[in-house]
Amino acid sequence: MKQLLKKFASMLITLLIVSFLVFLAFDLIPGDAATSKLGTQATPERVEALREQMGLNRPFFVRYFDWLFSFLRGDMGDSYSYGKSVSSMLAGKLPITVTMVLMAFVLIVLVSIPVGILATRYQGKFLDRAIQVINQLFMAIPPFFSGIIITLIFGVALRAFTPGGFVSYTKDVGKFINYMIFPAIAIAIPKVAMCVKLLRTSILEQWPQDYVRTAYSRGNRTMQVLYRHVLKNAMIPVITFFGMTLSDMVAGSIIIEQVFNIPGIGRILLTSISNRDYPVVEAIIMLIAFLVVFINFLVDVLYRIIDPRMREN
Amino acid sequence: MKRLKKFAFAVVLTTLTIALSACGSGDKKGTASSSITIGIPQDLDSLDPHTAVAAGTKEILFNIYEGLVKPDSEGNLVPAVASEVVPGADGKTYTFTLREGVKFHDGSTVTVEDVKYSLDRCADTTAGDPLVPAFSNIESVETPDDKTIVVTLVQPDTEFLANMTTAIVPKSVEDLNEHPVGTGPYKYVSWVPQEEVILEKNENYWGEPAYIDDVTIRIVADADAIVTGLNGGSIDFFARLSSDQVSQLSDDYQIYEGTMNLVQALYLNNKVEPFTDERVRQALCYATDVPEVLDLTSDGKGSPIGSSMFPAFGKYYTDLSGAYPTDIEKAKQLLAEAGYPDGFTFTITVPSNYQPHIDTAQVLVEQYKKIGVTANIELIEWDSWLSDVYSARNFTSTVIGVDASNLTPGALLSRFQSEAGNNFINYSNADYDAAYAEAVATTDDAAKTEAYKKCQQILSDTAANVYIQDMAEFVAMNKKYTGYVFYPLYVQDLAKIKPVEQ
Amino acid sequence: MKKKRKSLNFIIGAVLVGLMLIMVVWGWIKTPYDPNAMNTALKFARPSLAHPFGCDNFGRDVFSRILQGVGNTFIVSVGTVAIGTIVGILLGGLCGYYGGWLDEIIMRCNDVIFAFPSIFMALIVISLIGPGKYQVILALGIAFVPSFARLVRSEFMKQKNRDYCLAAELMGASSLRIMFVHILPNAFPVILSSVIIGFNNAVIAEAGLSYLGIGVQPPEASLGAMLSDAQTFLYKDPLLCIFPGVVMALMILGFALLADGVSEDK
Repeated sequence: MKQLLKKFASMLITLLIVSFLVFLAFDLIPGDAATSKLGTQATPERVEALREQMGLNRPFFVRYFDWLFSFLRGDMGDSYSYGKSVSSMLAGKLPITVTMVLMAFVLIVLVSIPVGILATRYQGKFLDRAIQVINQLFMAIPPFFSGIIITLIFGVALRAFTPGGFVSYTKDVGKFINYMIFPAIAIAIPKVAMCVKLLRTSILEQWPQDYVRTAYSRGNRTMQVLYRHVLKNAMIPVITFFGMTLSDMVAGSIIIEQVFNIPGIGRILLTSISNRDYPVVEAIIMLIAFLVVFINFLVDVLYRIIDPRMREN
Repeated sequence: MKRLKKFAFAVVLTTLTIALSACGSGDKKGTASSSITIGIPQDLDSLDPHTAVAAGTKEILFNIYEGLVKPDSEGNLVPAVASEVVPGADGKTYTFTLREGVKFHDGSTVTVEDVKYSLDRCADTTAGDPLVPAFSNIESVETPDDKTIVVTLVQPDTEFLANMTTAIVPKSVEDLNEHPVGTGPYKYVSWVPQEEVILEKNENYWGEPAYIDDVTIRIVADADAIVTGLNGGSIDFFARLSSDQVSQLSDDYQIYEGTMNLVQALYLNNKVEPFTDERVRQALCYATDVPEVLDLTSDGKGSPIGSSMFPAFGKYYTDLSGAYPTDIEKAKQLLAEAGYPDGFTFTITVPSNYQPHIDTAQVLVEQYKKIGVTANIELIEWDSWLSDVYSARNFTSTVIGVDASNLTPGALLSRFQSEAGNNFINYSNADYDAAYAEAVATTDDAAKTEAYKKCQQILSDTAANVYIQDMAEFVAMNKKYTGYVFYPLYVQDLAKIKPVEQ
Repeated sequence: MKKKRKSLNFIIGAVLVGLMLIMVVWGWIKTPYDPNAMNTALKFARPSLAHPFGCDNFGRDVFSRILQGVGNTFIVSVGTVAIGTIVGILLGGLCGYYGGWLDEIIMRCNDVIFAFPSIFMALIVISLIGPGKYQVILALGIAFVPSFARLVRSEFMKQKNRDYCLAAELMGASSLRIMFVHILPNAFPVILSSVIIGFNNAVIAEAGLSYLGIGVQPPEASLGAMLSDAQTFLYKDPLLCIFPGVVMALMILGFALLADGVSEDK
């Protein structure tokens, strides 16, 4: 318990440092929200006046702690470029990205586990080899390129969706889901490949172990051994991988959102970076960082539950 | 084992079916010709016409708001919220008569108080410069009766009317960014940041009403997603395409060809070695093969220019595009005279989000190799460009297009005065300053035109920058619509677009 | 049966990687044409004997650009992985071997870097130090450190309690000697296969950065930059996309197979 509390505390400290670094980075890179807003109409006087108005000319630490304390109180501040509250902006965009990531996640789980099992059942045979080759190929495609290819095949050739025709969930949930399937596939492809590979290796590692032989000697058939014993053990690294994947996909959605023209969290992050709109960037980075750190924490907890030896360590 | 196999196949099949069941339900946008979806490359920066600065925002707000006068597609100023304009003989007063029965989108009638409020708001100097810089010249805005507005200037300015396109907004609305209310042919419905802006037809428009009822303006940030969106049918209209993008479009689109109305050049920081030397700048001009740039980047489309003005300016424009014909020997000789017989190395900074400028820069790099000059491209983010290059003037050279905020020559030429706040190339030339001052001061039209031409000539003679072109602009519109009109300004007039009769 | 397959993976991988290395060296020594030379007459030229992969929108020879691009992609990826591996081995090794507060501090720093989306970090680093090949290496390299450090750490933790380490300690070997002379070679197979996988991730990451316009600077080519530039011409000139895409896929495939071969071999 004490160990877990310590872990939890260090997780909070990590987030604190992340928030500070983001703030620092925005102080160091050229341009700020005022120059960005004024664009080519920026004259030194106008920039100065706007900075004053936005409160950007206060000292660095004053601004940081001001932001930090409001953030801790649950107030994420207002976006400089949109004048809206960050929380209302994220509330509108979050469902889009979350839907996409969750759909991709479901695809990963539904496809990779059966395919992985299939590959091990036919280990060394043609099917296994074919799966492995396809796997390697899928891992070798950069995500934005697979996005383009999916657009070409399903959007342009098969007309399964209108390329670039994103429909918001607030308008038509059916069309929204229909559209989101394709970016979800694009995100899922390389992850499915990795997961199949991991599961295959993991299952194959279990077969030679003693408990499998014991299970067989008790008269179990292959099916039963596989489902009751092997799979349970083989899934441990795969579940860890699922966890990592989930946070990885949120961060990785930046590029896929760009390819499919989806106005989600990634798009807002990119434009807010270039608008130097740090309240928005801070909020999104904190969200992603929290996901990464929290999932790490959960994996840690899981390990402790599964493997009692870790508890003393 | 069989069962296991079946189970696995079943799951794979199920997921495939989920994915495929979506097929065939692709929606066809824009079949109803009473609506249109147009694409724009970046989000709006504000819905308040007085505080919006991005050209991409203003071209959309053009449909929602109007000034006392507004530009037409020929570049003339025509009465809008005002029905008549009488300029004073001395160039110091302008008398406007309010058009009768013009209504704001919220139903209220436009009054002279609203006009005075709008103009005063833009002339307000409490936060530094006024919102419309030229309004610092306004001495007073008076309303002698309920349909007359008199604007009095401090200094005479015969071109001041161009600034009266400033939007007239109701005095009663506090936050225009939240509740945009104007008098234009379209009224605002909703705006979801990074997603879309929705407009609908203003039924009570005072002039010729719009043809299309509903307009959806979709933000398509990625250059390649634009082509995909057009080919896929999710966008019906997109302006400012490059020839590369147009070459990828299907036959469903009518392509309109015009010019972007901007001055694309390799802008040289005149205060940085070796560009302090006029001969070095001229050498680069001689080394630049503009026709080849056009051939390689835009299939030869675009108008070569030789100074900081483009042809849309009509009588003020003087064609100097032939001033520096490509001449490698001459360029080398000038370099040798300037003390760089073996050439030199410099950096071209280009904003990473403008592919046409990146393309031009790449061709220039190749062309300068021929005179022994090595140029390196450095792509930076647009906001870094604004702060480092444009504001801080911390650069050597940059490829960019400079546009005009209105059709007065000052919009392009005033920045090259030695002390101008937006003189980002640090150009400094006493003759130029004198010529420009003369152009502004005189009220005689012929003398004014002559002085502006002299300004252009000086910029060309001293090779202030390596002038390249007014870039070709392509507009793609689905063949279901017609009536697109080019303006010599950064404007998209949606009210002129109409469905094709079937 | 089993033995035959692992060697097959290895052989195919080695052949592909060998091919790629030949292309890299070829590109360094001499390309058939100047990869940046433009020619109006050859815009979008189809593949021919003179230009086996055709020409791009500036009339540049695509084959020469691919040779240059493979070289640049290779440099970026090797550089990235080198930074990630070397810093990762040092930090991970120290953490795993000593543990305690040092471990705590370094691993927390690790967590911080890990918590940043790598694209965000690359964007910020590039904004700070300017764009370019070497800056990209630095930006990606930093992002790659945490995963290596973590791997090396756990490997060192596993190894340090093994008998051979205790024996070395008893014989009076210094900690540094134990770490780098005794443990490192034993941890090597695990590190090697993740180095190869890291290389592939770097290739893909470079492509992603090019897509966002912050990779190798034009007119220089990299596979990622060529791929994202060619995207504009996907509808009418898909070949411009396909050649760099295939070369990149083969390159990644080669390394992945090699990694499989190595890890099956241990």
